[in-house]
Amino acid sequence: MEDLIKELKQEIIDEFNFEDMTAEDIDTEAPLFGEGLGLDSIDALSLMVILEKKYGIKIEDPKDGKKIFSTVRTLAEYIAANRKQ
Amino acid sequence: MEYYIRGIGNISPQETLNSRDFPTELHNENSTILKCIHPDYKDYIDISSRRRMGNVVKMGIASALISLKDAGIENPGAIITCTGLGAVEDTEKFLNSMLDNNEQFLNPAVFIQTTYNTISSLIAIRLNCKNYNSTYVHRSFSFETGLIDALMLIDENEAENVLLGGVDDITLTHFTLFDKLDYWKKSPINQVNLLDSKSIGTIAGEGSTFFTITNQEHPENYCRIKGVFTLFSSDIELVIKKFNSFLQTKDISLNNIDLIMLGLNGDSNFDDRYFSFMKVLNINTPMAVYKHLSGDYYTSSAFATALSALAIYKDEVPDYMMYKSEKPKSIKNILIYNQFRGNEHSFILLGK
Repeated sequence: MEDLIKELKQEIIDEFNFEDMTAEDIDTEAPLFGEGLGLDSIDALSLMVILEKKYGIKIEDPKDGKKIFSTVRTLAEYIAANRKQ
Repeated sequence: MEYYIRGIGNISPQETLNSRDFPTELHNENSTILKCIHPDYKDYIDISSRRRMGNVVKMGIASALISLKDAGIENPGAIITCTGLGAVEDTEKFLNSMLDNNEQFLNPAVFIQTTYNTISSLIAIRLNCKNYNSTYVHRSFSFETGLIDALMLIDENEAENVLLGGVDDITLTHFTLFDKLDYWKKSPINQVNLLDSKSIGTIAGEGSTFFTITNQEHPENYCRIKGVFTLFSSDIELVIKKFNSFLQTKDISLNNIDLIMLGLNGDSNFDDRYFSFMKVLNINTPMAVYKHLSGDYYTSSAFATALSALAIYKDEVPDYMMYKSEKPKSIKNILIYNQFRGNEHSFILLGK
């Protein structure tokens, strides 16, 4: 799980161009959206693309995204449980 | 109605961030591409906005903010952006992603930057400006068309101040594609020698130049904008005829023009059109050039306008801009003549 969390953090930094930021700077338990990392609705779409492209997970109901994308940990747990690749 | 340039923000391959001074020395390269000297964008755009922006968007926003600060104006009555290619870097990323991923897994963040009006709209969001907002995409006429619109807005009292800019960047894909059409030099050339190269093609360039144009007289105005005129034609006689009519409508003669800023770009296929124009009109006016400083790109006439406005403001022109002629004793009127591959001719007349 810890390896997946580290991998996800680096994926977020690369995908969303967080300059001058390292994986250690992202709090695993902090909200990804709003006050935490400050991601927005367009980033949510990009996260869905990452999930489908890299882990073979398709989120059928966008409402599920709110819970899945809550923190890096919730995202990692969902991927670990549902990944197809 | 009078129109003045009050503020300039200029990001280019030269040290032009200080709007009120010419670069002290030429930034000189052996290359076929001239890339911009970028400011630290952290000073202009916060990270949450910046992280999604390509170079051209960052250049546009930063130069727009520099121009407004130079003018001492916070919120313009209109924003007009002119571009030949728009956010072409993001467009290329999106199209390549479509090909690489078989039209699946497309990144929405890149897609939303692919429209031409991205730059103008993001400037408006940055300024919280809800006034007139428009983007002109007309190849080498883009800047001139936007300039005409800006003057019309002021004429019709739609705006007192207009933020107007020309912005384009060069990408490797664009360079490679247009290299097949002989747009560029086939081997690197020192930009100082560009206009003596006697070979086909030119140096690719990029830049973002924004102006704050106003109808208010002010001691810190750079210059007046006296007129702008475009013509699509390969017939040099027609160009001369229309050019003479343009001067007549502006009530100015060639003798009153102190400096002609030519868009010579070292392309042996097209530079002779400038010389024919000068020869037929028997023009002995001092000549200056600018594309050896910026490289050639669709909105390079905005860069020429910034240098010309500064020349009038300071009543001087640097040695590195003069072309085979003596410097003028004083500079009250400058005519900018730019053309694109022999067909698209534009004239911008600036005065003290």
